[in-house]
Amino acid sequence: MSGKAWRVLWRGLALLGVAGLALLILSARYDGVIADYRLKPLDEKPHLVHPQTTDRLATGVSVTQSVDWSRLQPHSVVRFGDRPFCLSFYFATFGNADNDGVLDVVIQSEGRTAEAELSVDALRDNRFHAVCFEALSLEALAGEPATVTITGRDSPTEQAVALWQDHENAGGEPFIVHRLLVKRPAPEAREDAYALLAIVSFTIAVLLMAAWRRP
Amino acid sequence: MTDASSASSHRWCWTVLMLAAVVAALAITMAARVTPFGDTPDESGHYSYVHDLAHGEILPRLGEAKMTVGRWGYDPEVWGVEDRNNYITQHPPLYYAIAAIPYRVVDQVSGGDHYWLGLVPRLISALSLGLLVLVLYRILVTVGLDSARATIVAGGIAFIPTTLHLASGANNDIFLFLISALATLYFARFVQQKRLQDAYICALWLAMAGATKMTAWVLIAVLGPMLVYEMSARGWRWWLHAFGLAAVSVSTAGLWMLRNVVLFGEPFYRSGLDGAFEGERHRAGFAELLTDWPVMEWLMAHFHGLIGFSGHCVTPALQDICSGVRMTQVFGLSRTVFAIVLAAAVGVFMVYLLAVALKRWRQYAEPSFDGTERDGSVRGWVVSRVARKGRSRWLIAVGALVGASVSLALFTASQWPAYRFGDLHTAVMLAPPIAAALASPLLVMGGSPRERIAFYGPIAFAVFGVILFWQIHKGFTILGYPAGVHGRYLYPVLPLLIAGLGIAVSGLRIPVWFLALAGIAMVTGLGDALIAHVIPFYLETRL
Repeated sequence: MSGKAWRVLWRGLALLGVAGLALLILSARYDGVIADYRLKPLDEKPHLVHPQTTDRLATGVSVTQSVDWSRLQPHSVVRFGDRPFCLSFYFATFGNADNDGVLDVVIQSEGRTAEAELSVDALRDNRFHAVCFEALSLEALAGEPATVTITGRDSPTEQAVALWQDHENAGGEPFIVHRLLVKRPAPEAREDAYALLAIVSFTIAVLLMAAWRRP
Repeated sequence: MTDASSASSHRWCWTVLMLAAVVAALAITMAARVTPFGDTPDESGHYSYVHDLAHGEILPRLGEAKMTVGRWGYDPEVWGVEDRNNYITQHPPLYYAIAAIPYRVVDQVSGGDHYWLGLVPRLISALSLGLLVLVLYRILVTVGLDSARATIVAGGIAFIPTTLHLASGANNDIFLFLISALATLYFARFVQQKRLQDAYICALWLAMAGATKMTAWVLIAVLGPMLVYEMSARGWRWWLHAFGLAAVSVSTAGLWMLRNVVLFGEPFYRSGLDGAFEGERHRAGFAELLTDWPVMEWLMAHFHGLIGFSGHCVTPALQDICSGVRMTQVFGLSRTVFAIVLAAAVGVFMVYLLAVALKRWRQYAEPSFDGTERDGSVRGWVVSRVARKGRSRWLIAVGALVGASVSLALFTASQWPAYRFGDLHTAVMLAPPIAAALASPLLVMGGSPRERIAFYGPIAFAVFGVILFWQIHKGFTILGYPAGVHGRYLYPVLPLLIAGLGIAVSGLRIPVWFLALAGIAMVTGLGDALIAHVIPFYLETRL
């Protein structure tokens, strides 16, 4: 093999190696975001007016909130009625400390009950995290009076998280901030995301190679 | 430029070819897979214009042309027949005429498949972005930047979310950016090598730009006189070529103006100008506009990352179920990186400009200085007059003072953005008046061709900026709120600014690794914007 061919081979391998490494790093960074593509929000993101946290959801501590259907966007039931219903809550994890345990989430409405759970160590500070009720579709629940209860199953107080709640005005009743969602398959969007990450990774590799070359 | 560097400037390096291919691939992926049809600015109108031309309608007339019924496969029987005027036919036709050729072919080959037909005009934009990277690279190499630095700087523009967003849709913005870059390339060659052939090719590309979008007419009004200012010839030849360059530059714009006069009675006729505005005008000054509205913030934020357009509500019949947000700004890592990199780039350019100003100040202070230049150009004549006996140093001081005053006035009137690094954005927006006011006297005080190219950038940008602000204010007085506040209208003048940045990077010997880090940070920010903001936005608004 000639010297030039070796150079081309070396450059190609280096380019692919750097691009692969960049893709690994970016994929690890965005896996969670891409996984959430399956969630379809059905309301506008709420603006917090007077936020404060609940008590920490340590073992046995519960909070209850009625589901706010008033913010459900028009035509949501027509478009996504058969999809599993999800709720997301705005968590406070106190600086992503070493939180641990499980949260039990129960939704009740007109004799229907569904349960789900959230792993506490996966929660991040000041972010929405969703929980889906696989057995409960949106159309089965929409508009009905429903309450959701969140209970700390096994978290020590210092490792427990809390929920953000808000007052519509300074004198109003506090309510736990939540969003309405459904779960729907979004395989194409996930494929697109990884394809874009691959191209971005390759671009990073090309820029590095450009800088590496001597003028 | 040395012979060696001149020879190397004619070679392509494989990294820039690969970068251009990757950028085009990114835009094509966005166009084909991610950006919903109708979700880039005015895409319904741009698509319908291409459709009309492809179906043999020569220059559809504003006021009569309609949006294409059944575009992108929506069923008129379900959604109703729409009777909406296509206001995009106000634009000159070059982009649409080019897109109409493959559109017609794809129409025949695919049997009218809506997906492929929707994709064709988008591919013209996506490929234009890849070609733009190559042309910017050529500009940067032409002004003396080495290939490594030129590759990274040229790629930077494609790492901005709005640029990629526009490149993934049917519109004439990225195509115009490309054409303007080609005009700038030949302008830079002409200033350095003084070959009239380059001046005429530049004028030809200006004519192409004039046939693409009315925004480009401002570029013609700026770059055309600069060509004539730089041109060297004696006697009647000077007049002949000055006329020739002017005639070629304004040819297409002139024809479109003539058409507008014949059809509408107004050379600059646009949608929304039908008849005099009869409502109550919002009587407010420019300062009030800046104080009451975040104009500076929007200009920068929209230039960086304004995504979406219709929220997929592409027909009136769909309006009902498309409640909620239709566009979104990109925040997060991408905007933070953009603010820092842009501020650094502006800082590098300003340092270069100040260094040149200092050099010129010292030159003029020397008693033996003789700056006369007799090359048969208007520029040489002006420089010789200004440089006589070296007494015109005060021009630099006046320029700096005027620029600082204008910036101070803008600074005082403007709102400061509340988001992270928003103050950096505002600071960057205050640089152009100072740069332009400093570059103007330096231009008439002599300088090397490379220095002059660097001076022309901020001057052209300032002219563009004044006209853009004038238009925004005009709209504000009619609507009561600022409309059309978008940095993309500045695309035609950006290649000249990027050339100036390249000259500054070369002159100040900015390390290549510094540029690479900035480039990688921008690409990473772009990735974050696409994965964490753009795709989730479309998932949220898409039906």
